[in-house]
Amino acid sequence: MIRIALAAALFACTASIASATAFKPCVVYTEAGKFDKSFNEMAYDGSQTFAQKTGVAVAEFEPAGEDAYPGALQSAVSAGCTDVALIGFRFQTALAAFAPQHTDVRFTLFDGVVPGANVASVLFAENEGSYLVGVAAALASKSGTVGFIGGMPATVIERFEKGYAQGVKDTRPDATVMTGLVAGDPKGFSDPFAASEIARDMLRHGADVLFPAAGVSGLGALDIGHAKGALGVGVDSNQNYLYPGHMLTSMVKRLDVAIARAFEAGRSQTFTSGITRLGLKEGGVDVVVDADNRAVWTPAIVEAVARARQAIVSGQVRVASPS
Amino acid sequence: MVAVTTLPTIMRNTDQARAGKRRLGLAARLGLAFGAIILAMLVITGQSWLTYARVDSTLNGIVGETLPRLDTLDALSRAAEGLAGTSMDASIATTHEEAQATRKALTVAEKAFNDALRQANARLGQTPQLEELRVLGGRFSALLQVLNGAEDARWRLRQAVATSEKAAAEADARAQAALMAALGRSPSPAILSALAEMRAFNALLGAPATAGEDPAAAKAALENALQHLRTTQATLPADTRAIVTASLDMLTRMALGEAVPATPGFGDVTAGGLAVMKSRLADAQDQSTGLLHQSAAIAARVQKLGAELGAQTQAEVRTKAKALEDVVSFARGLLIASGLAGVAIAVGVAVFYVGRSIAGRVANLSRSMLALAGGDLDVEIDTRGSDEIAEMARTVTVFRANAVQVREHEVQLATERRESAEKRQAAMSAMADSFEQSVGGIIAALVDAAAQMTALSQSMGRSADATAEQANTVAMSSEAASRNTQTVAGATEQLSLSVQEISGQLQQAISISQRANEEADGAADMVERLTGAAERIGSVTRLIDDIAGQTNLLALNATIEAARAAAAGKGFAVVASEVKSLAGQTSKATGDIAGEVAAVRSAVGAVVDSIRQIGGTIVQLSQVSSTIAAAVEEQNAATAEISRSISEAALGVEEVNSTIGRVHTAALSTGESAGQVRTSAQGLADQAARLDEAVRRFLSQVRATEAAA
Repeated sequence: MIRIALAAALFACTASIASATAFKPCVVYTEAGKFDKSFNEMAYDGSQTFAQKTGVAVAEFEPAGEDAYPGALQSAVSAGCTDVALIGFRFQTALAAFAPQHTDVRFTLFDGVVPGANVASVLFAENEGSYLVGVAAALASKSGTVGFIGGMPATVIERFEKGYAQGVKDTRPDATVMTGLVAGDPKGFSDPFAASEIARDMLRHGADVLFPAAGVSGLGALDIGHAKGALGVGVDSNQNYLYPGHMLTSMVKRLDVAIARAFEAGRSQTFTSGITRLGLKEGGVDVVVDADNRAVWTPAIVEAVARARQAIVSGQVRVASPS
Repeated sequence: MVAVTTLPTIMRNTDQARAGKRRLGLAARLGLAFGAIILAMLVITGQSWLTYARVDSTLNGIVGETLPRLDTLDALSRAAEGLAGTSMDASIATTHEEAQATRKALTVAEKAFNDALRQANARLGQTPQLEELRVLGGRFSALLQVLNGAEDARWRLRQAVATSEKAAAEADARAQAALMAALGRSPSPAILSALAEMRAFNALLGAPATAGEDPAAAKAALENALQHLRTTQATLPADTRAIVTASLDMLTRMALGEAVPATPGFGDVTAGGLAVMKSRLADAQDQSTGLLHQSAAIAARVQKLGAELGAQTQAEVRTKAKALEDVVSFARGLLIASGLAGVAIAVGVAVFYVGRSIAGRVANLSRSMLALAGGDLDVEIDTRGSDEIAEMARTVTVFRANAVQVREHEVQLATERRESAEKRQAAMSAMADSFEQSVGGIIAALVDAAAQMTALSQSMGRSADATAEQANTVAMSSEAASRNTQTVAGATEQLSLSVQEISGQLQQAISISQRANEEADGAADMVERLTGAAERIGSVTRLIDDIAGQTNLLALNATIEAARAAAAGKGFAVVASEVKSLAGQTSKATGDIAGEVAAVRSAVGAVVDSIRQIGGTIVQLSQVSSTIAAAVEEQNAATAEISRSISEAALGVEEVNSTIGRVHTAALSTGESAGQVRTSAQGLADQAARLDEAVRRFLSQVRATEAAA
């Protein structure tokens, strides 16, 4: 909340120096749509907040599928968009081909990297958020065994895994972190039964906290965890509502914060291309504590997480990152 | 002439009064009355407008807000029902096709539900039910994705398991057939134990898996059994061994799966052979069942929340409908009340103002004018007020005053006439009486004298002889006769004076007749003035008629305006037509007045004729008087004749006296003379009788003339 307030104050300051240069912010969602209760919805919330705060309307594009991504980008540019936000790494290919042809348009890609002078790639320090999840999991686990299920071998998944494991181990050195991958390719993000089987296996081996970072597959793991009495951890967006009372927390990428930052940069002509990584310090990632999981958070967990957060923000603790 | 000069003065006064005293004219008052009615109509219209605006806003609230909410809720509840129904179908699907179809239906239902939710988000605002529905929608989406995964795996596994089990059963059958054949040929313990192990392996392979079971145990048991079989198989006869080995290879593959190079991740779900697949199939079935239960629970909850929202909205609609009903019933009451008030104002204006203040007063004035025309000059004329009707009433009072003056004049004239006639009659009567007395007396005396003369002449005749003898006596008698003749002369003188008196009286009567004639002429003048006044009444009536015509025009305009106002002007049109008929009535009344004035004028003409007739009569009277005067003149001449005769008699007496001396001489002829005297006396008596008759005739004529006058 403090970070949001700071961000708001920053917007308020920069709003006054915004120039009259053409500025039209647009969002291109994935086919899941802006009410997916996940990434797209967060981006939608952030763009709405920005629109309400600045009075600048945000145009929206919802392609029907991955094939329609280049078309959606073309539509956005044709509509006169000056700042186009793309929700998710799945736009990488389309954007890499499209951006060089439209150098007068500023593109911001979230959770993915595309090179180019007119492309800002916004990544999240998943390792920092996952570290906090690890701290909480270590304290919430009774068995001392916790599980991590990745969708596929990828740097971003590794950031989750490493941060998580580090958080667990830093908090409870004797704890065991089981890890599993759903698949060797992107199918691993859409195979909930496989994740369920991995979760069953982990539960058989004593794990009582499951942290899947595997998209839709993760939902299978959370289902099994819920059915067998283990705690689950949501990912990307707040998924605590799926199993109230059975969720430890959700490691969220604050896409709402990130998209508002990106549009504000466009508005105040402070757009910077290249890779930006938003961590705990920038409010880019966080763990969620709300009505659905508050009962799970013992005072010890609350205190430990607060301490860990402070340590990371202050730089006292450096969370390992594979890249 | 006086009347002619006074009427314009009156008109000028009324003009001044119109300019000065009048505060509100008829037009202004009618305008005010119509204004009051129009105001009442405007108030009613305004009230209606405000009420309809209220009804409209309430209706808009229902139509624009509540109905879309109901639509949304309807869509939501239908989506929820679809969700519940498809969840139910999915949980009882028995074939792969059925399961596929129900999963598709579930996806459709989930999409419909989330669409309905999105619509609900926009339309229903934030309610706890809606928030929970959103959460439930999210859960259901997640659940559906997991269910899809589990079902996919389940059907793939079931197929793979069926294929593997079939292959395994075939391999098993081949091996068992070979073993049975070998047993038939040459039974051995090795074959028997191989058969037993084979059956044990089959039982192991066919044993059902339970969900959540670690497939490693089953796998190890199967591996162990296969190991045993391979050991036993090595002891089998060579021909049997080949078939059994091939079957075992197959069974191993089916039970434990193909050896695959290690890859990162979970890998293929159908990898690991029956040992793993059966436990996974159990897992998938278990998960599907659990998810379908959850799905049914969520669907039930969604239905319940939808019903709650629906009930809320229905309650809102009911509240709004109730409010609308209240507004409508209030509006109805208000409209009835204001309609009645408007009707009351219109009726009030029509009855109390137009009816009483205008039509009533015009009718009153009309009655007063009719009474006035009918000669009732004491009629009450209501001159109250300050409008045109009051002015008309005041003008009528002027006519009344003129009429009263005329009547008084007539009365005075009649009195004067009566008095003069009475005076004249009395004078005539007195004159006749005194004439009768005086002339009668004289005549009687004359008759007596004649009689005496006759007797005297008779005695004279008788004593003619004695005359001579009694010359002295004759002389004395002559003297007496001379005195008597003087007395007759005096009486005759008196009679002459009386006749002259009668003549003077007659002259007076003639002059009175002339005066009466002049006065009749004066009356004629007065009547002429009355005719002039009637003319003025006619002009004022025309003025009233003009006003009535303008009122009619005004009413016509009002009718046109009312027609333009269409339905709203209906009441106004009715009032306008009333005014129009009032104007017609006023016009008719003024026509009546004109008729009455004409009647007055014709009556006045009759009066003039009468006066002329009176004048004629007076002239006749004057002529009669002149005739009488001529008769009197004749009488006067007769009297002079008598006087002359009497003088002649005196001369005779003188002659007697002078000749008395010669009486003696003439005594002889005295008898003859006496006869002559008697004849003369007889002539005198005849004369006196004629005079008496003439006088009587004259007197009766005079009296008859008086009676006629």
